[in-house]
Amino acid sequence: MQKKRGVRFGIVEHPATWAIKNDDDLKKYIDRLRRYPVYIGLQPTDLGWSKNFSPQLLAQLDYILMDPQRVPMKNGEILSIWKFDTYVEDTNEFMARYMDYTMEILENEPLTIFGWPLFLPVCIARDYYTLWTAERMKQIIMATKKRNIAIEINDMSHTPHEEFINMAKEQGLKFVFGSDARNQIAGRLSYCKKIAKKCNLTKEDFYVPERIVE
Amino acid sequence: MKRRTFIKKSGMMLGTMAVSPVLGNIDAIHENDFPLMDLHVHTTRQFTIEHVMDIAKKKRCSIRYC
Repeated sequence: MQKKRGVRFGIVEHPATWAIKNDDDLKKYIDRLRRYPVYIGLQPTDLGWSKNFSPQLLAQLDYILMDPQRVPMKNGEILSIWKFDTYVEDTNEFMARYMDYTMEILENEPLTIFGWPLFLPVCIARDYYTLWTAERMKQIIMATKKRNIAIEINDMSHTPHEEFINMAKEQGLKFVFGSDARNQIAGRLSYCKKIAKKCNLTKEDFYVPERIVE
Repeated sequence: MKRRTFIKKSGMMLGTMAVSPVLGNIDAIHENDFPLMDLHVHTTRQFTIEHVMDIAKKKRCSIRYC
């Protein structure tokens, strides 16, 4: 007989100076969430973040979800691309830097899940299907495949799109759903369910953290 | 309406109502064949882990994948 089971959740927090700063904070965070039937994750926002934590403590996490949303620009400025007022002066230059930063994360950072894939700042989002060329998508997919990283289908940004998911699926990559919610919409996952169904994703196509959460 | 017709129709209606949740779950099984997991949830002072647990409880269903 199957056990009663509904939606399962994974909680993430940022390892950053304003959130989880050090081992002490991380231990408290893990200990607090261990009392609940949820997966425990981290969502780093900057390169090199893991140097501030002991490997033993990081190993207690169920997963690490990292996205490329803080793009370093030529003038040293960090472009926080999720902000609505993000201004991109030169789209080609931005895309080149965005791809470089994405590759840096996918090739060198410790992560389990690649978050917010293919998201674009609002000011250039209208060109989504032109900017995400087959070549760029393939580059991301191959880097992800090389390190066995799962791909988030992000409910907030409605990315990635069908073509990318099908390309990634063809390469045997795994997916996860993520709402990036901080309120009652957690677990709703409307876009995720819709696109997963459209792409005929089945349970074999999904990454599930190893720890059993009942 | 004759008594016999009334009993027949009411019986059919009640029967349909009784099995509808079961049929609903069968639909859910066939609709999606993937684990329903949201691995990207943040808690805040206003939206705590207890709120997340409440949602999990409300969305609980009798199938492994829904």
